[in-house]
This record gives sequence, structure tokens and C-alpha cells, in this order.
Amino acid sequence: MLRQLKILEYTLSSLLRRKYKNLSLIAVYAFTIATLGSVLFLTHALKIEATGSLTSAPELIIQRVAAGRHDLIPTEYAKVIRELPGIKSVTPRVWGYYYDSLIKANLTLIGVSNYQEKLELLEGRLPENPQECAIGMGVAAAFGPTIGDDLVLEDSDKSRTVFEISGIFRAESNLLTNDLVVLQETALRDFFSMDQGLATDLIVQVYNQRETQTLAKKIKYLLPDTRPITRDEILHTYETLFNWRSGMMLAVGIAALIAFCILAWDKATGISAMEKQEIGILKAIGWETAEVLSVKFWEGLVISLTSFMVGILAAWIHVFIFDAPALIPLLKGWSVLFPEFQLTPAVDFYQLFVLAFLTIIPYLVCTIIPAWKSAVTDPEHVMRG
Amino acid sequence: MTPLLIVEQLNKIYHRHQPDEVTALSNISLQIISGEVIALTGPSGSGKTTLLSLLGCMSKPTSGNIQLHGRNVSKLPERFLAQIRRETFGFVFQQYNLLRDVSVLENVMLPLYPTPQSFREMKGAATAVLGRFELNGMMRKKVKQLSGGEQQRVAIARALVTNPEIIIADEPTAHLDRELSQYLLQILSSLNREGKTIIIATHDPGVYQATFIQRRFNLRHGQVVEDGDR
Repeated sequence: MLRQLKILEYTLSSLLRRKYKNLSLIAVYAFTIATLGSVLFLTHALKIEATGSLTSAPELIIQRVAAGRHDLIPTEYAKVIRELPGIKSVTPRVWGYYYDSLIKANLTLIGVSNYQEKLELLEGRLPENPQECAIGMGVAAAFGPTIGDDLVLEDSDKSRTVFEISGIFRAESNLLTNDLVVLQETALRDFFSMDQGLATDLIVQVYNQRETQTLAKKIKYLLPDTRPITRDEILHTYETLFNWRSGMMLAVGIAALIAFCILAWDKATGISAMEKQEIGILKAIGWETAEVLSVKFWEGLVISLTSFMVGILAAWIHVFIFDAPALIPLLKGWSVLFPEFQLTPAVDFYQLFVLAFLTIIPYLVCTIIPAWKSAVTDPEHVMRG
Repeated sequence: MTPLLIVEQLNKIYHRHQPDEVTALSNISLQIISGEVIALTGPSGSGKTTLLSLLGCMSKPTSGNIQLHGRNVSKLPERFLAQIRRETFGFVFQQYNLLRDVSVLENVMLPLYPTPQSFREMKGAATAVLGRFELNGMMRKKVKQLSGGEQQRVAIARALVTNPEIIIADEPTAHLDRELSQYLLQILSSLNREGKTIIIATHDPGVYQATFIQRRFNLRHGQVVEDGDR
């Protein structure tokens, strides 16, 4: 134990001797870790955010599909579904997308009637007449209005429709409500020229959640032109979406990691003449090969662990304090109106372990193998200068 | 008197069975008694440094035996050889072989890191030996800030810090002027008076003709051509 402590002390002194070289190595190494760590932290936090936001989502959504595309669904389908055993309620929902050329963003317009209990407001209230609307934080930030101001939207006939803002949504549900404009159902039908007998989709509540999948199959059997989507499928879609995006980023990050490994390998295999001489001197004056390798092991561990911790800390600060400005456009939003919200700090320790394993171990190997090759040779060569 | 070192039929061949094979030592046999001062002489390439490295357990012979205190050390595993180097030998190299960016004190402490001594004991031992060579005032200085003579004294201090039985010195005066060479010889002579066995490889007549040198082995082409008392 004392011997290892002394060797560690020698290692630290040896690292300090080459402080500029080691600091530059730590900087490059930590940057690589910070990049990969940021992607992992952000992806994980977004998944948790999305999962949390979807806990109040309906168990089943029924869409109609025509020519392979989502189409409006007749509201009379609700009656057919409601008669199935196990169905608690069926609610037609009307909503649609609106592209605003001024802010160059897609807004989601939704009509409220029976579904309004699912929406929580930051301030104000939900619309009580066809001339009012409630908006998400992103819409408020993009247009700059507040409660009592007017929101002007152009319908498909290019006629301007004015809505008075009656409320703004809470930040906690921001991932889902950020780009939302809530209107009364009648107002939305007028805006999109949607017939009374049609809805965008149907929301189905069931008595027993374990039967959701079975009920979805029955609905599909009864109404073959529909597409039942369960909450689990939506969650799966979110996971796939974020995994795909993080996968793209990780591919870039891993390329950086490989570049770093090549650099580390080059640095390690290109062990300098001075380092070789130091190994030879230590061996000549009575250090064992294992002791020389201990020094190199500690050197590698100190550098890789310091870089890992600095990188992870930087990734944490980047993602959870500064909201990942370098990555958020690639990972967070599926609308042009990116949700502005504080990510809840959450860490997947398995991912961290994998990242540590993939970065620390290769570096240690890169450090120890060339040192071992030098250390196993006879120290005689140091006598020859 | 029982010999300290017995060398029997020692051969050393580099790059064996390769086109650039070199026979560095051929059938060397000699004995060294404890407390002797031996000079290995001969021109460059005669095998002096190779013989020193074999005697100092820095490399293994191709064939033949080296006995230290009656124990055959020529086939011992590397970890035992390291222990023998640490505990029995003190090395003074031609190029000093100090760590240039490290302080004088740390350089002298280097052989003590693998020992069971505490930091305090290590520092105490290093300070004591540095004091002997009047290097106390420059303990914190880096080696690269020292003159050649000072570096040689640090190298000797490092060789002595473990209180070894045998001092091995390879061309110790090669980079020193006449005055410093004389000073070094005085140090080696005093170490011999303390009972240390000293083996010096040199082609400097000022060294091998010094009065304290007791025996001389003259090497040519890897063989001892002259072995005699002085």
C-alpha cells in the first residue's frame, strides 16, 4: 500500500513535469467526453420529459387512414367504438397544423370541448367563446403578445382571423404545449373549414389498460380504415425518434472519439526518447517492470479519469444549466418552434458506465502497452546513453 | 577469502541467429573479492560496458554463469534481478542518467521508491548522502540547472543512497575535466576505504593507473587479454 502510494506520488510529480503536454491532452480528451456525454444526457432527459408529459395522454387514439395517409375521421365511428365492451369513453378531437410565414414556424391548433381538463394553464383561462384562444409559451415568445392581446391567423382562404388571448400554458407541459394554440371547437372547425360530422381523430379511454391492445385490434377489425395508436406506441415513437437523433449525434461523437483514440495511440506508441530513457533509468536503478508499469497505469488513469470527470461535468453544465445550446436544435424539437424548458437532471448510469468503459480503458491500453514494450527490454541500453 | 562475484565462461551474443549477430563477450571468467577495486579497460567496443551490465544484473548472459555471494544470478527472473540491482549495486553512468527536469533531491530518492521506506526515511537518506557531497544547498534545483561536475556528484549520491555493497561505474570521468576527475577518484577511493567493492570501466589512464585500483582486466574483442594485480 505504502509502495503504491509512493508510486502514485511519483506519478503525479511526473505528470506535473509535463504539465503543458498533459493539460492539452486532457483538454482534447475532456472535449470528446463532453460531446458524447451531452448527447447522452440530453437524449435521456428528453425521453424522461416526453414520457412524463405523456402520462396523461389518452390510452388510445383512433385515426382514419385514406390512401395510406392520415385523414379526417367520421364522428359516427365514435358510436361504433363506444358499443364495444371495455370502452369507457370516446371523444372526437379536432386539431390541425398551421404554418405561420411571419415566424416561419408550425403551430398546432386544437379545438377544446371535452378534452380541456388535460390542459393546465400558467395564467389566464381556456377560451370561452369562438373569439378567444390560449397559447403555448413558444407561441407567446415568438409573437410577443400576452393575455388580452390579439393573435392574428390567416385561414386557408387567406382571410385574417383575430383571436383574443385568454391564457398561456404552464412550463411543465411545455414539450407538448409549446407550439399550441387552443381554440373553441366551433372556431377551429370554422378556421379549417371542417365539417361537423368529421374530426381529426378519436380519443378512447378504456376501463382496463391491459386490454388496450386487444381493444385496438377489435377496433381495427370493426373499422378497417382506421389506425388505432396506443400510448405505448406513442412512447415507443418518441424513444425511436430521440434514439435516432441521438444516434446521428453519437455517430459524429464516436467519429471524434475514434480521432481521439488515434491521437492517443499515436501519442502513446510514439513514446518519446526522454520517456524511454526515464523507463530505462528507473529499471537500471532497481525498479521492477511491474513498478514502471504501475507508474504508467496511474498516469493513464489520472489523465483519463480527470478528463472523464471534467468532460462529464462540462456535459452536465452544458445540458442542465445552459440547456444544451450546441445540441438542442438537433435533438429537442420536432417543430420549428423549439420548446424552451428546463430539462430535469437525469442520468442513466448504465450509459455513463459504457461511456467510461469505451474511453478510459482504450486510453489505459494505449498508455500501458508501449511502456510495457520499453520496460521489458534490458535496462542495459541506458548505460550506452 | 570467498569471492563476492564469480564469473564463469560468460558469453554474450547480441541479435543471435540474425544477420547482424555480434559476439560482445566470449568465455570470460574472473573472480572479484569483496572490497576490491577493479578496473575494466580496453578500447571502445571491447566489451567493457557489456561486462559491467552483466555483472550489475542489467542483462542476462547468452551462456555462462555469474555467482553473487555464491548464488547463480544469471538465470534469475527479472523481478529478482531488479531487487538485486536495488539492494546490492549502485550505478554511476557515463551520461549520468539523471532525470533532467526533476530536482536533485527527487533524483537521489528515486532508487528508494520501491523500498518499504516511508517518505520521511527516503528524504532523510537522500539528504544525508547529498550532504556528504556538499550538495545540500542545491537539493531543490533541477538537474538541468547544474554543471557537469555537480551532476556527476548527484549521480554518485543516487548510487550510494541505498548503501550498496558494490559500486559500478562506467567511464565516470568521460565528461569531467582533470580537476573534477581527481575529485571523483578521491570519492571512489574513500568509498573503497569504507569497504565498498568498486568496478570501473574506463579507458582513462588517469583512472586505471590510480593508486587505489587493485586489479585490472584488459579486454579486447570481448575477451580478457590481461588480468593482473597492480
